[in-house]
Amino acid sequence: MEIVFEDVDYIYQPNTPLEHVALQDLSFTIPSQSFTAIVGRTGSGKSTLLQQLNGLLQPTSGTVTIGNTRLPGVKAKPLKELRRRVGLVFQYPEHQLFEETVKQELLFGPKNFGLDLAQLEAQLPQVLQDVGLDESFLERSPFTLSGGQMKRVALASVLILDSEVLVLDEPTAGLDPVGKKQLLQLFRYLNEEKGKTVVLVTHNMEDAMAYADQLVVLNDGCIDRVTSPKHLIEKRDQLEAIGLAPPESIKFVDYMKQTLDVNWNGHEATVVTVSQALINRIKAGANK
Amino acid sequence: MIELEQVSFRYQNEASHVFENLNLTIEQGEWVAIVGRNGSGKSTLAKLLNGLCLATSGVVRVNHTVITSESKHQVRTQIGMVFQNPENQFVGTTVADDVAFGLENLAVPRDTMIKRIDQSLEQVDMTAYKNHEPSRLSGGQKQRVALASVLAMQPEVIVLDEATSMLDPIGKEQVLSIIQELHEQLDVTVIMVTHDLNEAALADRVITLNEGTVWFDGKPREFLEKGDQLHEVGLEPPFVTKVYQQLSRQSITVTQEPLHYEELVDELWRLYLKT
Repeated sequence: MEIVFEDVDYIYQPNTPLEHVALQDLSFTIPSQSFTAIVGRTGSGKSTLLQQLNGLLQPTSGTVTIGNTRLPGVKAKPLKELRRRVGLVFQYPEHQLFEETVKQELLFGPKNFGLDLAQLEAQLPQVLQDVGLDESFLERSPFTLSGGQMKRVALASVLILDSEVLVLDEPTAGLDPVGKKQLLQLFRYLNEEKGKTVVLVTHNMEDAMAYADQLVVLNDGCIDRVTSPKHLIEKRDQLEAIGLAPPESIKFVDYMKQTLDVNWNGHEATVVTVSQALINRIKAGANK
Repeated sequence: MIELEQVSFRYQNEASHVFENLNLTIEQGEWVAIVGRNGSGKSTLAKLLNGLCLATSGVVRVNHTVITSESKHQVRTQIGMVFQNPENQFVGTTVADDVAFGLENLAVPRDTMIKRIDQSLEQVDMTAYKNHEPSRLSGGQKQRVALASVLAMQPEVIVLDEATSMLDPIGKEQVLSIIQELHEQLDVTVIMVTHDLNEAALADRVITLNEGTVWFDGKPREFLEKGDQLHEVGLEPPFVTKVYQQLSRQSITVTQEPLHYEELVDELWRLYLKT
């Protein structure tokens, strides 16, 4: 499902002394079935932006078109339909969990949207497995889970809805590295194999660069640029000014080039390419 | 000093124990990173240290005081905690009010209080924001204020429970460099729960928890030497560690396991390429 922002402004508490312009003049498109990352430092407007994607907030001016729904001015009923089609996983999972058991938590959304519960109940073990949990979690209380487990349950409660668009706000913060990789690969699978549009909101450039095909860079409530990971890496000297940092592998390559005078022909920076460049350089010896 | 002796802990209504007969000693002034997969007991351990959780059996001692439901309030004045979500820890309308809150609860005299507020804001480099509203600060600034609130209590131990995981790279670096400074200047014990192994490499000691037991306890370099074995406990070796593994296979080694890419590259230069 395509999402189009046109001249979107969002102002918190307009016409009051506390007025705060959070988003200014945003125009960009999230193509259907793309894997788009929205990146920017804390306070750049990422969370305000993502809440426009399912109508939790509606633009103060300008429009957001999500499939055939256009914000602002959407009434309650189509808004509910929109929220079924756009699943949102919040940054802090403890904010969205409230049921007594994980099972009730997972079925709350489907019940609310009037889906076939019996059929979905059968899918629960699979959905839990997808997020790295097993069936034994179904009867547990979400509030006795660790932070990382809560995050997985929150994600599963959205996955079960099988939404066309998945919006994920820092979905891997607080997860262990193996769990993090597993979830990112799940998002890639949902994007590539199931045709979901994935919107990843993050300040982690490693994840954004490795998984997204489009990057929307926000700075201070404005669009800094809409680009691809490859192009952004080429312009990495501009990242620091907007509060972001290149992935560690890229910093490694830059330092290695600068210190050891290594030949580097713009390969992708992986463990294999970086080690090979170092090995070649050392074999070439001191008087290269 | 923190001592855990034969500590077992189980959450109410849960069948299995998080810890069974855990033993651990942390000396005053150590900087310890606690790592491990989700659900391995990291946050529970942090909560046992300040009495948010009480041991089901066994003893947790902080500076020789056993933590019980009676002593936990007194122990909390010695152990400050900073959590993951900066939003959840604010109560005041200004940064200074917020730092004052804990001190007011301890009935610290007013002039001492003012001095401590100024001092702790200075330690985290937030003096300029003294009269600002906490909600308008960036994530890194919020965590620095949370840290100042803890410092104002002059604790002997600071526990950071994934305190940098929600911060952007710049905010993260600010918080870590302040912790590094505090650790060097004051004799404060730092216990840092984290998933970021680059962050853990900054500590003096890394404790890896796995299913409620200590899987590894030692220096960061020895920890990184574990390489691929880290996968067994849900961890991923840092990029520099993986590159060093590849180099070692070609018999290109440096004097010690590198903690950081700059260290590896500098050592390679010194050992192999410098004329």
